[in-house]
Amino acid sequence: MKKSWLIVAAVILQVAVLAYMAGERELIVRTGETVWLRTAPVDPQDLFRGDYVRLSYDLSTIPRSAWRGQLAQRVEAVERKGWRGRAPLQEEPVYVALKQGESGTMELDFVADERPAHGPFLRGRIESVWGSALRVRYGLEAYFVEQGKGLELERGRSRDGIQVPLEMEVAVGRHGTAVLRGHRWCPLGIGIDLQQERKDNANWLHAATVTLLNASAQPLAIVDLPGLRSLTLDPAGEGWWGSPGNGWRWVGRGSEPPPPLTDAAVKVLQPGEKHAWRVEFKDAAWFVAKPGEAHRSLEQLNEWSARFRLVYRPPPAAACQHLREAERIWHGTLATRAFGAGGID
Amino acid sequence: MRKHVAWLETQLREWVRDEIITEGQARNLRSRYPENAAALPWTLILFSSLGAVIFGLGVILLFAYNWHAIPKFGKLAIVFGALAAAHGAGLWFHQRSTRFRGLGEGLTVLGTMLYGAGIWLVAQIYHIQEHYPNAFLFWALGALALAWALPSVAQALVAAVLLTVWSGCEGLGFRSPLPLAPVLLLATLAPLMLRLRSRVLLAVLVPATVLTCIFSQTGYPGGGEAVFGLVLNLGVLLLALGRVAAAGKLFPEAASILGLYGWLAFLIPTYVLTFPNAAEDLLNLREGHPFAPLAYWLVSLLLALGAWVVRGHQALAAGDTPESPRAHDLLLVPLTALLAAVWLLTGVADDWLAAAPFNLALLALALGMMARGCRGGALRPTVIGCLLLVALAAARYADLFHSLLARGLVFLLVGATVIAEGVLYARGRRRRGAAEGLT
Repeated sequence: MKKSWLIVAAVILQVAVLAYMAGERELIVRTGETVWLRTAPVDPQDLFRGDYVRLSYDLSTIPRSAWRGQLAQRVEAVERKGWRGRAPLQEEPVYVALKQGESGTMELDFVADERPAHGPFLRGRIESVWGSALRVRYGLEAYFVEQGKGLELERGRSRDGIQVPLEMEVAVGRHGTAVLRGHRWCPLGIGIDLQQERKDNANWLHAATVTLLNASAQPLAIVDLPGLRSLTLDPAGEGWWGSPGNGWRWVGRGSEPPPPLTDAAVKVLQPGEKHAWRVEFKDAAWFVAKPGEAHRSLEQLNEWSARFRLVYRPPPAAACQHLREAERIWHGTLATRAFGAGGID
Repeated sequence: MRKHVAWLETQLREWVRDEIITEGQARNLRSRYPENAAALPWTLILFSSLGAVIFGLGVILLFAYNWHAIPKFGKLAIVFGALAAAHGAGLWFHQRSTRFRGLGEGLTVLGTMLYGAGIWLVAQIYHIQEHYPNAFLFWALGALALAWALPSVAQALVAAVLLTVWSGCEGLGFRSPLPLAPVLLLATLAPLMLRLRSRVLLAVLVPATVLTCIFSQTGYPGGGEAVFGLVLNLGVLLLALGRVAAAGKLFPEAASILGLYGWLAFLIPTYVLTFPNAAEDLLNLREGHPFAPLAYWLVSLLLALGAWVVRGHQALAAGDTPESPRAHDLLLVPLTALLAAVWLLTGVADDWLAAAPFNLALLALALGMMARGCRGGALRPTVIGCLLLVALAAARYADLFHSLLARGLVFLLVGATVIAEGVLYARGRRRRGAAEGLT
C-alpha cells in the first residue's frame, strides 16, 4: 500500500512540474501587463518543435551608459580579471526597466541587478559581457509558429532589401517574467544601399541611399526635414572592444538648431509606397572623428572599426501637434543595418 | 541469472536421476539461488525501453505536424492526458501481476518520455526560451522519482542519461561547471543499483559518472591537464573496486563491468602518456591552473590509492593460492597514477623524461600480465598483456627506433615473445586442467 502511494506521488510530481510551468505562464498571459517590444529576428527550424523564429530585441544588447546601481561595479570588477572572470556573471539575473516609446513599443530605460521600484520591467539573465555591452536573455527569444510560417515571417522581415522589424506582444508578470502572446509588423521599414568603389585593394564609400517603406495597410506620414535632418549617423552599437562605438562619433552636424517644422516637411506614404534619401559622405555634415582626432569623411575611411547606422528620427509628437497630418506621423526611430567600408552587415 | 538457474535445474534433475544427490539435497541446492522477483531480464528492459523511447519520439512528431491547428488548451489536454494515460496503464499492469510487470515498466518509461516531451511542448505553447539544461534536470528528477518508487532499472537508466546530458549542457554549453553533478548522480543511483543488483544499471552508471566528472571540470578555462589525470585516476579506482567486488559478497557480479571500464580509463591515458610530446604537455600544470579541477584530481587520486590499499588488505587476508594467485603486476596500476601525480605536481622539463617511466610501466605491466596468464592458464591477462606489448612496440616504432635495424630487432623480440607466450599459455592451460581434474 505504502509502495503504491510512493508510485502515485512520483507520477504526481511529473504532472505537477508541467502544471506549474503551464500555470505560471497562463497566469501571466491572463493578468500581466501587455507591452510591445521591437525585435531583430534571425532564423531557423527546430526538428522536434516545428518552425520557430529566433528573436533578438533592441533590449538584448544594453550599452554601458544604461547600467545602474551595483551592476556597473560588478561588471568592472569582472573586466579587471580579464576573460577568465566573465563566467561568474553568466546567468546572473538582471532587471531591465522599460519606458514607453513614441512608436507604441517599449524602450530601454536602464538595467540594474535589483528590481526597479516603479514602472514596468523585464527580468532577464546575462548571456555575456563584452567591452561596453551587456547581452541579456529574457526567455522571449523563440517564437513558435505553424510549420512553414517561419520562413514566411523571415521573408516578411526583408522586403526588397528593406528591413521591416517584427514587434512582439508580451505579457509581463509582477516579477518581470514575460510571455509572448503574438506579433505584428512595424508599420515602417528601412533599407540601405551603398555606393562604393573598389580602389587600391580596398572598398571606398561614396554615398548611401536610405529608403523608408510604408509596410502597413494604412497611409502613414514621415517627416523629411530639409538638409536630411531626419537622419542621424550613429556608431554601430556600443562596441565590443571597449569604448562606445569603437571611439567613432558623428561630428558633422554640430549644434546647429533645427529648421522650423512645417507641413512641407511631412510626406504621406500610401501602403507599399517608398521614400528615399541620398546621403553623400563627402558632405561635411556626415563627417566622423575619434576623440582628439581630426574630422574625416567616411569616403576616406577604410578601418574595420568604423561601422555606423543611419537612423531615421522624426521630431517628437509634441513638436508635430500643429501639423495637418500630425495624426498620421509615425513617431519612433528606425535604424538601418550597420555598414562601413567593408559593406553592409 | 535465469540462464544459470535453468542450467542448474537441468543438472539437478540429472544428478537426482543418477543418484549422485537426493531429492532433499537438490531442493536445498535450488533454494540457494532464488530468482530476484524485481530483476527483469535485460532483454525485456532493453526492448521495452527502446520501444518506449522511439514511440515517444513518434508521438512528438505526429503531434508536431498538426500542432498549430489545435487550440492552446487542447494542446495542454493532450500533453496531460497522454502522460496520465501512459502512467496509469503502466501502473495498472505493474501492480496487477508479476507476469505483466515488464509491460507495466515499459509503459511507465513511455510516461516519463511523454513527461520530457511535455516539458518541451509546454515551452513551445508558451514560447518559453529559458535556460534549457534545467529541462533535462527536471526530466531526470521525474525519472528518478519513479526509479525509486517502482523500483525500475529502466527509469534509472533514463535518469542516468539525462543527468549526464544536463551536466554536459551546463559545462560545455554554458561553461558553468557543476562540481557536485557526479556526486548527485552517484548518491541517487548507486544505492538503487546495489539494491537491485543491476549490472545493466552499473554498465550505464560508470560511464555516466566518468562523463559527468569530465563535464564538471570543462567549464573551467585551462583545466585540461587535471581532467586528464582525473580520468587516469578514475580508471585506477575502478580497477581496484572491481577486484574488491570480485572477492566480496555484496555485488560480485559487478567485477567484470568495473574491470572493463577500469582498464579502458586506465590504459588509454597511460598509453597516451607514453608519447613524449603528450606527456610533456599533459604533465605540466600551467600557471594559474583553476583550483576546482585540481581538487577533483587530488580527491580522485586519494580515493584510487585508498581503494588499492583496501584491495591489498583483502588480497593479503585471502592468501596466495594456485586457484587465485596474487596479481603482483597489478601493483603497477596505482604506481602509474602516483607517478603521474608526482610529475604533474613537480613539472617535467624534458619530453622523454616525462614519457619514459610510463613506457617502462606499461612494458612491465604487459610482461607481468603475460607471465601471470601463462602461469595460471588464464586467457584474459594473457591476451591483454600481449595486446599491450604489441601496441607499445607499434607506438615506439615511429618515435624511438629510428633505424631499420633497431626496428627490426624490436619486432623480432616482440614476435618471439608472443610465440613463446602462446606455448607457455598452452602448457599453463594443460597444468590448470590437470589440477582441476584432480580436485
